[in-house]
Amino acid sequence: MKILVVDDEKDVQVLFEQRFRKEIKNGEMEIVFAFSGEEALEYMKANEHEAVLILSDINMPGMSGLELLKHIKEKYEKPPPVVMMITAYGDDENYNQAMKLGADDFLTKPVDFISLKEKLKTKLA
Amino acid sequence: MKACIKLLLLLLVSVNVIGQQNYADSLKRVLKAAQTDSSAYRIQTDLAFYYSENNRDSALYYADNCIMLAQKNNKKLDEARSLGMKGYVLMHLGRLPESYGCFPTALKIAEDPDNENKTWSRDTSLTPRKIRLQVLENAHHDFGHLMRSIGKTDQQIFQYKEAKRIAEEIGDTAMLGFVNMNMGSVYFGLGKLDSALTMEENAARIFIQTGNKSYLSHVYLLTGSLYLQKENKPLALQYFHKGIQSAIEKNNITTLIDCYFTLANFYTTREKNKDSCLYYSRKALSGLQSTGSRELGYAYATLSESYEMNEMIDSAFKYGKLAILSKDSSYQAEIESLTKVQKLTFDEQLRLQELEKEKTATKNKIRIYAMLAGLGVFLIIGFILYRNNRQKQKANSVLETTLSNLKSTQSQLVQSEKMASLGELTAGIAHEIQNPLNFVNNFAEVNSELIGEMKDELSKGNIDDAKKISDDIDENEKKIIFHGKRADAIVKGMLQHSRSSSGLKEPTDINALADEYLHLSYHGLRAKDKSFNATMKTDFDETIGKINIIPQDIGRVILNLLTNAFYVVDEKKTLRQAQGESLPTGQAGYEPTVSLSTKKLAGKVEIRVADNGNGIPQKVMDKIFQPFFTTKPTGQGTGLGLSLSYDIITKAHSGQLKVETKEGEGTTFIIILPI
Repeated sequence: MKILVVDDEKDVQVLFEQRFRKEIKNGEMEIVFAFSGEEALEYMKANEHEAVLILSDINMPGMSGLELLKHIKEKYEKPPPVVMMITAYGDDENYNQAMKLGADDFLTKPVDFISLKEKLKTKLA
Repeated sequence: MKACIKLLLLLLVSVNVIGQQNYADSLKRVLKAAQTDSSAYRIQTDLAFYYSENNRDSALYYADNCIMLAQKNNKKLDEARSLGMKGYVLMHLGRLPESYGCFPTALKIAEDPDNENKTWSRDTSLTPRKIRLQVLENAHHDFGHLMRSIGKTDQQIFQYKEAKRIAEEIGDTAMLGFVNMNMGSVYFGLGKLDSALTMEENAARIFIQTGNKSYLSHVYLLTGSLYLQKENKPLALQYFHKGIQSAIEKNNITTLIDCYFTLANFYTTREKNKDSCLYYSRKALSGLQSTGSRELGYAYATLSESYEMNEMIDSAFKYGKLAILSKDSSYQAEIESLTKVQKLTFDEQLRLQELEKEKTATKNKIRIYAMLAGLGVFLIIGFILYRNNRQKQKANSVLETTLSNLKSTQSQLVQSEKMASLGELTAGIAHEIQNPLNFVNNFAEVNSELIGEMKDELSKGNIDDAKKISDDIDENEKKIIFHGKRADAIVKGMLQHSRSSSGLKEPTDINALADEYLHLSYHGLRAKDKSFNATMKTDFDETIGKINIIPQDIGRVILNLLTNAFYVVDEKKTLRQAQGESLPTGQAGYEPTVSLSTKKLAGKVEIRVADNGNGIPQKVMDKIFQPFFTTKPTGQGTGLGLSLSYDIITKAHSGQLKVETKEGEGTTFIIILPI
């Protein structure tokens, strides 16, 4: 399973690699990182349909996570990749907007990796 | 010579043309049939004019009637005209005090422009003003004659000059002719022969030019007399004969007789020409007799003298006797007149004494009244001042209350401005702090997992694996510390901002301060608007070091400028999207960018906050630093941000806050702080 993590904070990469070290070690998961919405789009263009799950931050300089979401849901129709939003701004407005744009899930920071792992399992089961 | 002048003075005539008897009769018939006051006035005016030179009692009667009619109908201007006529007639009747009474009234009426339409005169060729001024100039002219009669030459000249001035103004050439003629006569009397001659020449020229030649003969006679005075006999004689010719031509009997007298006198006293003197004396006498004059004494005397020269003793004796007789009667008349004048003078003196008494009494009265009035005024002023003072005190207390209210409102507003930006920040910070916390929590959890794993490996004796894990733990620990500090900085920034300013300058790292507030404001906006994004660029001059500023205050200024910058770039982005910019933002489209830079210059530090928004329109440029001016929608801005910032920079830090803007391209605010 290939997961694309999009966040402007570089430390996110270390965090994810550490938290999913077992899954990565076992080959259950492959995680790629993009540090901006633009970078994520470039990656998806170059590696079409490779990533089946996208985890994206919302607040990023340049293209925001919501814009990225909108773009993905409009362009990549079949099969539509699963997009989960992860944000520090977990208010109703942000949530509703993400859902309206077609987000598959909405997680708030600090990320609860235990529940995230469960969600990944059910989503991809 | 004296006799000559006396004669000439007799010739001061009004401007009336002598008519014929049947003219008067027909007028009287029309008068009987007249039904309106207006026509009755007009006819009687004509009658008064007609009789003014040959039957002055009748003229006076008609003039009085005219005055009465005019007064009855409030035709002030016509009243003035008739009063002038009456004054003229009375003067010739020797009733000088009464005559004198007419003119001031006439002048007063004619001088008042309000009376312009109070007349029956319907002469459409003249404006109402011109009609009034004609009445005025005539009154001055006739008043001048009266002044001559009572021997006030300077007054006479003054009145003639007034008449002349008005005549020039309204272009009344006829009057100009008369004034010149009469002024010449005055100057003659004063011995100013050249001036007199010029005047008479003017008069003759005007009379000839206008064709108004009724009195041209009189002008010639005066001119001749002037030349005679200058011992130019041929010219004098030439003018006397021209005078006779013109007088006959225009039926001016009075002047004709005067010419005869003058010539008779000339031949008797100067030339001793027996025939000529007799010839002219006879002509003068018969002329006088034809007019029915009763004052023939002077004519008899002249004739008697002429006969004496011709050695015709009988005739000389006869006329001499007649002359003495009529002189007696004229003496008697003169005595009578003198008595009258004396009585007049006495009455006048009495009247003056009475007036003086009245004046004194009035003066005393006025003095008392003035004192009372003064006292009253003082009391009133005192009262007013007292009231003013009380009102002022009241107003002052009201003003003081208002001022203190205003001051407290202002401080409340400043506080609310502070709280507003603080509120924005708090919301942002509350969320933003989740980002470092995400790392702190998760790395901490990972570490505790890793420690467990490391313990397993150690118990298994896998030292190398355990070492590897411990490296990860170490790395994670560093991240925990880093993000913990980050969270700490965010909270500290918030606290620092909410803390009221110490008002004290302290050495501050301006770069760190600027960077801190850049993040604060960015987070603040992100908190408010979820979709908000902007590129931040920083360029800090590391050579600045610490500068002496009030950190909280400068921080607020930077925060305010940055918040504004973020607001405008976001606004521009939203506007572009609304206008249908299809390109995804961040690609070829608009990229909202806010730049913050510091720079050390000679003796000062420059902090620039630049955005690539739409710029500030020229029409609001001079208002942006005014308190309560805001372009934000109601409720979104207090309008105090830039105003407070301006005060902080210019007043508290003696710096400058400048702005450069280009519409459509962006705005740069420049803070200049002296070191």
